[in-house]
Amino acid sequence: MNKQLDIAPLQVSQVGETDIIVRRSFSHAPARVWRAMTDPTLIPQWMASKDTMTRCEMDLRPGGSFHYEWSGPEGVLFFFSGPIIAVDEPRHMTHVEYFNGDETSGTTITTDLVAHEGGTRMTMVMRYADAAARAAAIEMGMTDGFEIVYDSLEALLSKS
Amino acid sequence: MSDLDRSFAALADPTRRALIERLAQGEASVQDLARPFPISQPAISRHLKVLEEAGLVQTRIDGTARPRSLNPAAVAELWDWLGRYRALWEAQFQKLDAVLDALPEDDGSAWDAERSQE
Repeated sequence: MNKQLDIAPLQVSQVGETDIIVRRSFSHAPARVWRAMTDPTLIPQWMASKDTMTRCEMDLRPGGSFHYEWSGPEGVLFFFSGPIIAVDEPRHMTHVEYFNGDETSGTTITTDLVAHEGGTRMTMVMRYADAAARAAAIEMGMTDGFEIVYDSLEALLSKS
Repeated sequence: MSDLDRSFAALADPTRRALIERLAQGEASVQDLARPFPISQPAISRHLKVLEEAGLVQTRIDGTARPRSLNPAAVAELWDWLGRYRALWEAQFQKLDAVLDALPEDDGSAWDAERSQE
């Protein structure tokens, strides 16, 4: 079975044992995409699940760091943080992401933006520590996916 | 329980979802399937039995070997399931599209001006 989940303009594929590659096209130039993806005032507007991002810090330079945090009524739910490794505005960025401060299992993420026909082609490679870490990340995403399914089911049921 | 209920119940467990993930790459022996997990092979066999009862996994008899594979009939449904991971990304990027659309036209200078006000 071909594991590439390919419906334009987004592609999500698993490569080798540890990598997830996400490809997406945007209808704006790389400088603008770069800004939306790295400006801490803009990131919380799109990088969110059903939970709200309540803290967003980005010190965008090699040797810098970032911190993204999501909270609910009970307090902090989870956070991602880590070092910024490489920055070549507006083309390339490499950073390492730790989940809830666990530095034993980091994900190295490289983001590349290439100008294409007035827009941008983004390639993001997420390299997990091992196959189990990648499976756990997908599982977490799928768990959210299940919740979306159950939520819509509930909405449907409450209408009928 | 309906077939769909059974499938959902079977998939509501992280180990079983990981087993399905692995089987999506092709047929595998129970030993191979058990290897990445910190639990015993009998425990993996029990998970496989649940998946089999839900119609997601099937067993082939090959001499003394009993390799497991995904049930082809369940693959279409599975595709949708994996697609949910993809759907989360797409939902996020559609929000990013909206942020991009809303940014001022004159990117660089407007950004600098905004920043200096902060």
